Amino acid sequence: MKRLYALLLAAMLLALTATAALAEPKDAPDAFVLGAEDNLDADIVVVQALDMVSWDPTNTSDLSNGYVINNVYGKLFTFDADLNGIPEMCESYNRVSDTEWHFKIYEGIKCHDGSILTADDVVHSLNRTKNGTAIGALFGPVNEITKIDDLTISITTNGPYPALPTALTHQACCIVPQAYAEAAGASDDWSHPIGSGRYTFNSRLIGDSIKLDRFDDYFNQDDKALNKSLTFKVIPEGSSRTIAIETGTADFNVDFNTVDYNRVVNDSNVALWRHYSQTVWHLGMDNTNEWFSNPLVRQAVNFAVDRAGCLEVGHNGQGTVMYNCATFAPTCLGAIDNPLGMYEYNPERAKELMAEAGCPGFDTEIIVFRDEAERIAQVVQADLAEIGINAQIKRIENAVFASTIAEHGAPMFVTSWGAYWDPDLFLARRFGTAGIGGVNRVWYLNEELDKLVVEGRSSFDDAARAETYKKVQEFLAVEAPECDLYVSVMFALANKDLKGVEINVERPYNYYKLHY
Amino acid sequence: MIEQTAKAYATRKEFYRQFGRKSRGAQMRRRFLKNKTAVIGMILFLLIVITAICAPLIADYKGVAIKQIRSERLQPPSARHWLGVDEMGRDVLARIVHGARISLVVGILAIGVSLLIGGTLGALAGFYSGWVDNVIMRAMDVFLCLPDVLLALAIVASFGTSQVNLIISIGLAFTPKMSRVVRAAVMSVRSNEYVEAARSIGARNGRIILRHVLINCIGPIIVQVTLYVANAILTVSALSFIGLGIQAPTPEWGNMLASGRDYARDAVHIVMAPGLAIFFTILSLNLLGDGLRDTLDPRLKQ
Repeated sequence: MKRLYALLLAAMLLALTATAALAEPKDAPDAFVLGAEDNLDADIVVVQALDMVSWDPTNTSDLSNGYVINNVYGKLFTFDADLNGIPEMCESYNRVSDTEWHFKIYEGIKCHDGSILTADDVVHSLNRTKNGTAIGALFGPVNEITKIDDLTISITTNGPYPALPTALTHQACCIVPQAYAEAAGASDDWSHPIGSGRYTFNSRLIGDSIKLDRFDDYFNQDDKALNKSLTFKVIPEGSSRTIAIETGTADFNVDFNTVDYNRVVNDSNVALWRHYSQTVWHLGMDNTNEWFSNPLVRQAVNFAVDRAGCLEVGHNGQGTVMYNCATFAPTCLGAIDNPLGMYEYNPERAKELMAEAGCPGFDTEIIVFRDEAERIAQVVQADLAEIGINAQIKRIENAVFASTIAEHGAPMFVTSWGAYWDPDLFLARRFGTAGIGGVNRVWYLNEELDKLVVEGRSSFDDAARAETYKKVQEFLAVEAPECDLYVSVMFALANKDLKGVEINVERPYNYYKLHY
Repeated sequence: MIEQTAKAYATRKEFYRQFGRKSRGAQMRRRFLKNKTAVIGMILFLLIVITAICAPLIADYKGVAIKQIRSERLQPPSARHWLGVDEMGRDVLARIVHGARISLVVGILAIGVSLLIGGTLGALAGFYSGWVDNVIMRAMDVFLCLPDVLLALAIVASFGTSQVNLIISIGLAFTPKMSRVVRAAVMSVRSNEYVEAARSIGARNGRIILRHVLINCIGPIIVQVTLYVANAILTVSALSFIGLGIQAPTPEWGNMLASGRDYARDAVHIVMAPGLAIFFTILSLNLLGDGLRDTLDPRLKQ
């Protein structure tokens, strides 16, 4: 009898280990192979937490926007899983000199209105990008964009700009045919976009859904959409997004709520995919604010916040805590974990710094627009209360975040930033003079940093650049313009039969490949 | 006839003693106590009020209600945490009892505001009738077209979220309804003989309204106030749920529900507790209100 029990126990243990072994998300592949039996006529429903903002590519830097409009507009370069630029509409390109690049587009690229895309459209579109606010800083080093012939354009820069092809992958670099851009600009009505991307616009219900149909005349027939239509459904509530996948009302959840991790990882009816990410959740501070203009107070904040607690509550522990003040995700070029070994969770040190700064404590606000951020903000709020900073949490809509920042309406805020591998693509924008009015949301201004940014892009040698970026991180650790909290693991929840799932370092992407 | 004869006796009590009947207050009390559901409602409500008053004795606000102990996150109910721990690592019971303070205070004060404004307007409209009535009530009708939650939401969204703003906005939102109730009650007693009598001896209108009219329509007003307090508490929770009411970390049942909803499937106690707290408070007030109506409404007199 005893032996029977022992055997049973062993069997149970074995079964437990087996299920435990199963209970792991799948790692998203970098590429997949199309099977002969695959159904390419499915209607795919993608759920995301936030609505898009505008069909005008130069309007915003918002990810929920970019990953929608990317499907309708074509770009010279798209990105791979590491967000590095790979040619899309660009047939070939070459660096003529350190400061001049030539880009040639494919011949006969058809737009949704039947017209053919030309170099004029590209030049017009990229000039809009250059003059727009969303990524003006990304094009900061760009001097001139001119047409060479019907298919070729030239971009000149004011110095070496190694990150240019990757900069061209940004949503603001979506190519909008000149005729449409002018008409939409004149009437200020971008509601019926025309592009040259894989999908044509069908309809949009603001705050609810966006429906796109496959464009059968897409110029690259070898890489056209593998589903018939793509519908984006906006579901702000995390568990409702999970339920949408569980019940089959949607196929793909790109904003997986890690609260449901344990539930779905053991559920064989859905598939949880994961990928490492460069999405940095951070606490921003308006550096022009009465108290946050003092670096000592900003350092105090960096010491006061329990990052592990933020990760635990914000993303159920799915991520890596980081002590950086410059949004360098650990996988970025030249990233160092804790520059100068400066920070740790140390409320006592924070109190000392507050005293040193002569700060008796003050009232402030933390602006958030997502559930995760709101939870993080509550941890931050409790931690800051310990050092005398009384923060109220205020939730706003993502669409008004940019204008709130622009009006200095966000003394503190919690949000995420999808960092590129190449720091040049975010440093100037996030902490440089060029980023003011764009995504320099912390209003940090320092000429010395601006110089370091230029130094960082002045070479094509990654090792030399990494050295400069090390200096930048150390410089910003002392300056502490913001408080980086952690890098979250990127997840996507899908129907178990859904194929073509791909995730990059900032978000699940390439929705055009989703099929059954 | 009995009322007229009563004048011959020194006090009403003496009269009733003579005729073998109890005083009006005692009658009401008896009628109320006979109504079991009303008594249950009252006991429940008193319990909630006592809990709210004693909240600091039950759990310290700073040390427990808003204290985050991350290692205990999402724990189910246990001997240590009777209602479990929420997603931030805070004791749910402590938050519920402190939340009761907010909900009751905001609910009651908001209805106080609406009673003050709506009551005054309604009394004026009902007493003077004619153009005064027309002007006031047509204006109220306009506001009555909007659901109270929507009206409160609009007000609180434009003035910002704070406890005082919440009280004012919900108070204003309930003003049109309150004015109608008071107006109807005032109209029903306006032409009674004792009002005529007061007028005939030269009492001023203000005195007549306060001393003779309002005092005699207190019954239906109390009933409606009880029911409106329940509605107001629900509105506070609704506004907090959508993020326009009481802000974190201050515990309020609506914001507890909102922040816990993502965890509802795995840690049901987080949303169950505030949900039940709202449920029982509203239930108690509704039972109490219904009971009071049965007691105070003369048409239902047995």
